[in-house]
Amino acid sequence: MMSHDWLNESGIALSAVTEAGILLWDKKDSLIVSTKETYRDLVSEYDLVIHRLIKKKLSDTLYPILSEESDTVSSFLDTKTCWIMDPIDGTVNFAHNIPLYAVSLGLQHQNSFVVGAVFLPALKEIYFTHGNASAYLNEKKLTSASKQKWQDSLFACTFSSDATNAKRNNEYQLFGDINDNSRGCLRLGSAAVAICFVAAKRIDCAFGVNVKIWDVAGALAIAQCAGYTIYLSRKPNSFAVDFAVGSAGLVAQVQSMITALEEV
Amino acid sequence: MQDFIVIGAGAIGRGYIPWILPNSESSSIVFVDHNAKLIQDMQHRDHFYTYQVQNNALVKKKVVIKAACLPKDFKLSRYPNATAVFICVGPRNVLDAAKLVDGTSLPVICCENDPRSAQLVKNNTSIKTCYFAIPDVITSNTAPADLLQKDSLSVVTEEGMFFLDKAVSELGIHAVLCDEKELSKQWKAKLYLHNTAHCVAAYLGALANCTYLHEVMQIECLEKIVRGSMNEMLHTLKHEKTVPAEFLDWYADKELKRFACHFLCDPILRVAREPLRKFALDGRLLGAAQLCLSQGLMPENLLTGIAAALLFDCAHDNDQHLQFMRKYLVDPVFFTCIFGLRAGEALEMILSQRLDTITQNLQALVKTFER
Repeated sequence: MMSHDWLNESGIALSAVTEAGILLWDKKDSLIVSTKETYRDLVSEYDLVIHRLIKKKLSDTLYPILSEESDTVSSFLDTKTCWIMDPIDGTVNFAHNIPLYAVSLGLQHQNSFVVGAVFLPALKEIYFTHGNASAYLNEKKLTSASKQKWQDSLFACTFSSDATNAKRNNEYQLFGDINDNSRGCLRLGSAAVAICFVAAKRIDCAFGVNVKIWDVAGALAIAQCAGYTIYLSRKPNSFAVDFAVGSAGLVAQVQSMITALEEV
Repeated sequence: MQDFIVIGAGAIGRGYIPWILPNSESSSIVFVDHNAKLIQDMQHRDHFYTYQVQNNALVKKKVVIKAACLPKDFKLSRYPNATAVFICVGPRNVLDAAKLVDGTSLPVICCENDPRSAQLVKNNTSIKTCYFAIPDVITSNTAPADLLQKDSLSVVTEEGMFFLDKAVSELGIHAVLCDEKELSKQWKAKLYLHNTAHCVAAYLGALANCTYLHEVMQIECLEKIVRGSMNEMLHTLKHEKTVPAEFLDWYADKELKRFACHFLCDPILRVAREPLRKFALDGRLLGAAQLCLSQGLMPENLLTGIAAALLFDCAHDNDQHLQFMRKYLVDPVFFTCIFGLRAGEALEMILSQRLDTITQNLQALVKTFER
């Protein structure tokens, strides 16, 4: 099934996220099944249904599936090629009827994200890679934005839901430094949505600290195919990552700020 | 001597615009295009020929090339005698083209199949003198083989008419100057009586492996669908009563004759290109279908045209991902997210219920005379 141009896998990903995502069009009251690591980290019944549906759609492919809702994830740490899924990225938004949530699926191959499909059901927006050479928002081809001055740039950030993180205050400091010296820094509640909005030229740079790889895998593949610069740093023996995506200049500066955070 | 800047040296830019300019002794053309081979050919020559169909014969016109360049090499300041700028690049590229002349106070004339193009330019550049024009003409981007052999840059056009905002009155070009109401009338006719049936013909022709549009009109069962879609739009527009019926009848009749003109050698792939653009919700396919429904008419032939368009598959087209999306998106998602239809609205319901059958019937029909 492995194809050189990843076209087949792109199609499978596109089909999987959209067929799963349309379940959310008829969203009834989202049933909170449980909280996860913290009271701020929710999972709804829809997360689990979508997880199962996408897993079924991918079952014919050769690749294992890493999902936020998998029971066992540790075995994926060394996997070279695998699907990475977040059934609903932005579940808190989803639970509160804020339309910024996404069904996200990416294919990682040898530390690169080669395929991505992200469906924002409430906004009726589908972001997807076409093979690994181009990316689209619905029918429109995505292309990278031109250079942007820092102070004219709009940012979006993502933090982990773990408020007990020892570097939390430094993360908030980072947010403040960027927010107060640019057009602003939004917190959209979904890393996948934020990265897709960069690809769609609505936001100039998205970044995240200590987020989970399944939050970003699909969207980063899309942004990369659209021609954006990606910074990704994986934490050892963990699924946590730091990332930044946007034009080269903005990413370089954000990357240095994130790296400085780690050194504090 | 007047210089005219023509951005987009394709069918309209190279083939038709020269015919409407003041005579060649007093005007010359600077061409700008992103096609490097085309520009290179033009730079090695000082002229080419465009042909116009007049009284069932081809009339030749020599077009003097003052200069030809790629967008990155173009500077308006090099042409102090420039009198006006024509933009003929396709609706998707209008803004990029306009930015090449940003800041100019020259008239910038958008010859695009989108009346919003002029306002788009004004909203996104400092150009205030941008005007919408309607080249009511079919121009091929090529020519018959014997003409191409003599001149590889040849193109063939009809006589046509050029409808232009009357605010641009002092250029001496051969145009019908119109107020807003007249331009609106001409655009409505062009969109629904020309563009709709023209692209239906192209997509049917693509399915039937035709090369040129006039070939479609020679296949009886396909000609019937094209004529049928034209009649559906004609009846719809008459029912709407916003444009005089006599004008509509005359327009529809002339269009069908134009489609059948074999002199043009108008490639199917040119007319059919960028099908996703043609699926705009207010455009020649979906918009036209919705207009029919709003006037109580079920556009059976137009629905067949839509089905044909959804089957268009050209690897070199800008919208070559259409078939990828058709394969991997279920219909509700495609109709909602790609077409922009709302679930439960009339056209969405009709397509959901009938598209599969219409498509199967169309494919069976095409098989009966496959080339």
